[in-house]
Amino acid sequence: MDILANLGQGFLGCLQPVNMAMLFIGIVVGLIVGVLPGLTLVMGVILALPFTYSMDVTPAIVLLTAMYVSGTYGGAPTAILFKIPGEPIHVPLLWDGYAMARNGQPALALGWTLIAVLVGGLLSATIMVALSEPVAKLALTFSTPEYFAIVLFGLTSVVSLGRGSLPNAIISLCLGLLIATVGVDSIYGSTRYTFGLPLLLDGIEFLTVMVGAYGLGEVFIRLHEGFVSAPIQQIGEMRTRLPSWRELSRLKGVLLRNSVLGNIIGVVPGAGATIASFVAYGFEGQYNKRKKELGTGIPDGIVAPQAAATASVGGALIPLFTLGIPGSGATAVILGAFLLHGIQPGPQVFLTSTEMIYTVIASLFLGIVAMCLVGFFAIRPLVKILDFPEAVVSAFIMLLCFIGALSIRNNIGDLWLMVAFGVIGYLFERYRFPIAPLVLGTILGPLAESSFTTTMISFHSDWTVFFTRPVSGVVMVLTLVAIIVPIVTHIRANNKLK
Amino acid sequence: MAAGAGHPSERLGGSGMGIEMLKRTAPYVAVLAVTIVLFMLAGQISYVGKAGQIGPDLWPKAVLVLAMAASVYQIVCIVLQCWREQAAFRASVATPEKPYTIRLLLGMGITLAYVALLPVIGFIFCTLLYLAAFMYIGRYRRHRVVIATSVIGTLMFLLIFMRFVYVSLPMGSAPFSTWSYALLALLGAR
Repeated sequence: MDILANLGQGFLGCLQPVNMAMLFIGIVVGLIVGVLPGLTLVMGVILALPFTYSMDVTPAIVLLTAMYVSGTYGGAPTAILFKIPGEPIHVPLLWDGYAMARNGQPALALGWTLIAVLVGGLLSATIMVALSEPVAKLALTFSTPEYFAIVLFGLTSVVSLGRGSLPNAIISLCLGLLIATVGVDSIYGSTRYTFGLPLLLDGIEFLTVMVGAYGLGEVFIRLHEGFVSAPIQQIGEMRTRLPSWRELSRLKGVLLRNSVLGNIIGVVPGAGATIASFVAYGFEGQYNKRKKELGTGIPDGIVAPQAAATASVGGALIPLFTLGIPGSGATAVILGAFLLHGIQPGPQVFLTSTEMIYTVIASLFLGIVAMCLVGFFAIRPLVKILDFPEAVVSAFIMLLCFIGALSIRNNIGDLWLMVAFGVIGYLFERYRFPIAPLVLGTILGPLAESSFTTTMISFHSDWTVFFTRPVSGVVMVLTLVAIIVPIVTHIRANNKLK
Repeated sequence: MAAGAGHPSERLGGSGMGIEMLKRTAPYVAVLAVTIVLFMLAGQISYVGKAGQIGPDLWPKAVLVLAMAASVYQIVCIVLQCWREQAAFRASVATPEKPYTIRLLLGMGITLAYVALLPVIGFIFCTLLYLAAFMYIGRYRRHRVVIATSVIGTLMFLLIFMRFVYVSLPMGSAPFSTWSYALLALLGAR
């Protein structure tokens, strides 16, 4: 009952003009970000961060969360209508969405997408409400071994769930973890890898790494490609048609299972909407009754990835709010926004900032409904955004990156670091090293190291403690599975090639 | 058989294959070299702790060992793959180089110049020049749009961040700072 009462308070808080304004702005900007091919969802949230500095924490988080949610839908119309996925999230969507549009039903394809967003989003928000407070209460009993086990699980998951080369993902993660060690060590007070530079004594801000690697790195890649976008076809029918109840009831199983799947994937630290979208499509490819028709333009192939992608948002916010561990790149930025406003997310936040947390949760419900309305009525202007010249958009992205990095500590040195990480981000992309493990390593590295070192000191270097305590033991077993499965798959794949 | 149509190893020859192998192993060799240096530096981290207690060097060393192992594994795999099956080069040979390398280098160059000049000529003039230059480097040629968006964009961001978001943007050193502050006063942001 407490949860419902708090949620009610949250809805009232969300209806305050400033919060409603931020919600609406967040939705519109998130949709625009989703449409523009050069601008990813995480980049969009990063670029919005400097605008939140002068705001109170609640509208700031409402804005970023709204952007996060609507960014999971923004690229869908362009993927369906023009085969231009604004986000990697929408690559699985276009396999059936674009095919359905080519079969003469673009309006229905867009309608299915909106239904998937609505069901996936609302279901994940409901699960989030139901789970957050109990998980937070459980987390209050956690000690450093449990925290280390959970963070280690998150780090291994980001390596194992990512597509591409496993060794490359490990190298990327290690680089991120090393970046996190720069500066004064929090336990012993020793300086590490500062090379005599005063700037590095305070360490490297993970936001600098994120802005550089995601923002600048992506723009450099697009510049190297000459800002060449796919030609846009002329579409006669540009509207949304919702499916009938009969059609809808046939797909309720697909909607529900992929919403739950997306939510679970979102909870896993490091696995975001893109992974949820690909896994959901793969899942339907294995178990759907019409699996042989997937790719030909059936609604199952549209609903599954979109529902999972949007549902992953609620899932990703659960570890952020309850443990202070971001579940995805975008939630890492939201964590940064919390920290910049002097609030450390975690189990305590449900006791100390109940109203703020529930206002953000309520904004998720309202945001999903509002996003569907905007998506339904504003499809034409949304698609028109593709006409923006990419060179102009990219120039302003660079400018926002500069301001974002500068405003973290108001230090020009951070700009140099950001440019360095921009070049690293470009090289990573060029040589097929994933960026997500680098960023997650930078964010989770300090927590992983401090919880590991504290445990080792407290338990007299007895490493078995991670396995003998119930919660950490279970998580460590999951971690071992997450390590072993991809290695076995990698070796099998190599053997097949031979 | 026409030139270039044979097996990739025939096309490339021994030295070509060697160069290709070097290209593919280069990122991992670089990672390995950096991690070795950092591992040696980790050994020099000084701290005061009890005997038998882990120190601040253990974590970075463990991470570096993992990175080294992954790099060595990749290097060995690439070398073995190249020896075993020269067709493995097919993909890398067929991959065309991305076409706008000079533009990329120019883009990186003006980005570095922006950071270097920002404290000297200030946000307003530096940003104005940067935006216009970046759009031209990005192959956008509608001059009026470039000039208009650069000027309006710079002033808009200046106003938003100085007046509403309270981010202190660099105004540069004299005489640029004098001009910047005059412009700020004109915009009512000071």
